[in-house]
Amino acid sequence: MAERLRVLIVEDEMLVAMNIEDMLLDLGHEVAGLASRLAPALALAEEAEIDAAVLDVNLAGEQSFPVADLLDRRGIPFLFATGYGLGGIEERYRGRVVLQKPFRLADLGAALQSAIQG
Amino acid sequence: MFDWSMTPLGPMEAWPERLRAAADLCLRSALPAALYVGEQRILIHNDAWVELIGGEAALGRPAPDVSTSLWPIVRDLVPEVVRSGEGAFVREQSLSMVRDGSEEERWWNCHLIPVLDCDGRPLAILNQANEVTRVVSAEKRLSFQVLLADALRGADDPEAVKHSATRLLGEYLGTARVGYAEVDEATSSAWVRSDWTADPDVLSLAGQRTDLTSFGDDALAWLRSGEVLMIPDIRLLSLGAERTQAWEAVGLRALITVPLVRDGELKAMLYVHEPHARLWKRSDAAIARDVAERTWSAIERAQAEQSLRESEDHYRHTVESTPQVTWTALPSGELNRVSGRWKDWTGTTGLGSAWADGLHPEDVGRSMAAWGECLKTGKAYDIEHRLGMIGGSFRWARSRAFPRLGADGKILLWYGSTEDIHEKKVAEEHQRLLINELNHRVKNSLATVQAIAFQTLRGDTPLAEARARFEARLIALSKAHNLLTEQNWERAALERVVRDATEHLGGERRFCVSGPEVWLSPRAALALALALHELGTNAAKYGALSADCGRVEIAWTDDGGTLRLDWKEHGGPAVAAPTRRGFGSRLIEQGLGGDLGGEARIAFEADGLRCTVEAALDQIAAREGDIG
Repeated sequence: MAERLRVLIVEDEMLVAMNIEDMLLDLGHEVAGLASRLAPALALAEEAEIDAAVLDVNLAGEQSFPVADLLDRRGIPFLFATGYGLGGIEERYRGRVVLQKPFRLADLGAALQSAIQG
Repeated sequence: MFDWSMTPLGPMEAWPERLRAAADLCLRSALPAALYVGEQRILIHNDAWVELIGGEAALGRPAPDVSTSLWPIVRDLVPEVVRSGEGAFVREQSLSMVRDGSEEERWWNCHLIPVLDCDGRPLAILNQANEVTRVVSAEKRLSFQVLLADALRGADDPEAVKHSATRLLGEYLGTARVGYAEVDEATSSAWVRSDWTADPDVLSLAGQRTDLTSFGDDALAWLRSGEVLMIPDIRLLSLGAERTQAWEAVGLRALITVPLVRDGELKAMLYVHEPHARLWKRSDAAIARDVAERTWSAIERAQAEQSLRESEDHYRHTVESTPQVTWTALPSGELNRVSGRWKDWTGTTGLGSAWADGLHPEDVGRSMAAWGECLKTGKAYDIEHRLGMIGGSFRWARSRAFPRLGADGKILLWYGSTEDIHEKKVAEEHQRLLINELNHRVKNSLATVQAIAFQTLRGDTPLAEARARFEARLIALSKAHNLLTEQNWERAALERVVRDATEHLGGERRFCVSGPEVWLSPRAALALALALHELGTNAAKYGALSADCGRVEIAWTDDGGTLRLDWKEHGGPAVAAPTRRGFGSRLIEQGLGGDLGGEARIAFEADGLRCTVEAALDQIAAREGDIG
């Protein structure tokens, strides 16, 4: 069993967010924050005590890459979960872990592990 | 020796010495020569005179009485020569004479020399004659040919060529009608487009079509063999009375017809018509044949030029009116011809290497590299690039070129075209975006469905019950999709979302719905539709709608930029807060609040459940270009 992680969820579609939340709980992790818009997501990424993050790319019309930038600066691992696939990811983040929606419980677990291991 | 004693001149021994000497001179002359002696102009002539002038020997007769002599030419000069005692000369005088059975116009130069006695009184006049018919007709023909050549040279219209040639020939021959008939052997007919007539009284055959059989078999066979037909009088032919009369009725008695035979087939005829019998000269036929041949070559040249001109016109029109730019390039890659449209588009000539100036700067390198490769390999050029248009905009175009090879396999010329494909390209790009977007939406919808399934199926709900709930939730979602599709996925009316979510639960009988018009964004509409579905399901199961007379009041207000929506149940069983929070309340309080960027609360009031939703309108209202 992997270690218990405090995870930030950034997702603008609440049903999906709830699902990720439940998946994380089922994987034995903790949800340390949930943001559905860019501004609160930036605030959480800057201050919250978290070990990892799951980022939706499109937040009600705004892109979440500034959140990724902040997390990178703090050295916090993250993964993208998106319906756009790789094509919607900015060039500089193409090498990162990207989950294509919809995804399975096990996919989320494996993606988190590989994000943490860098 | 001729016996002069029977003539008015008397025996020769009685003649004055000078007359005898003159007679001797006359008789020994190699040229035709004659003496007109005394007031009566009694003729003394040599043999050449008879031979060349023709007719009878007329020694000793008065010249004015002799029908075949040169007297008509010199008659007017004689009194002056007699009066002055000086010689005279006339040149190139014509006289109609019959020779070899046909009448011909002949031309003469005449010398008149007075023969005087010792006292200076006139005894006679010596007439030496020199025939110049050949010279004169050669000159006449030459000058006619010069006129004809002038008329035919540079004529670029076949009809104008025919008109000039027929007029000149008609004037030269002094005839009544000259024309040109086109022959169609397939229908055995000849057709006259236009002809020349000496004056308006002469009937024109223009527009007439004649059956070839009306020429008679002999004449037709003659013409088909390519020989010139020359008829002094058609009554001499065995055409039959009816045909002869028909021809005479259109003003035809004598004719010359020159056939044009090509590839063994009679193609056309040049005709010369006289309304009366005419004894044609051989030179008339020769000149008619000459005119026909020159005219036909001029007509053929004019026709070829005309058809070339038409073909060039057609080509130019095609090039200029095609929606593409057409161009050609030398093997070096330099463009040597570019249709005008290129300049209309780009404001540049496109010639030489200037075509690159008409391209988007970012596309120049790529285009030149591809062109260079084609020049080297001879492969067809085919590229999509942007053109810099005159107004400063850019449009996508497709340029193609194919090489034309010479016999040695080397490239002679490139034939190219540039086509505006902007609309197509933009549509393709738009379609690509749409497909991308569709993929994204489907993936998101699947993620939503996955979440609904996950939430519905977890816990210990019996399978049949879970399946019914899952289906009901999917249908609620599907209805909201329908609403959005109606509005092009841009927005949905809040009232419609509410009515769709409550219709299956009794509609207006059970629900009192009121509120101003509010247009929701797709995201807000979907979230609200799902939330209302959960509220309705709960009300039907446990709340107001589980009782016979229970009702639900749904009201919303637009309060200065904030939407307040209130769901309040009345007349149901007494309400108690549930012991456990289910998917519905979690979806509403956590999910709806999050999706709307506002707050949603559920209050378990004793007289009926209440749900209040508050959200800033700018968060949930439909925006321009928002596609969820």
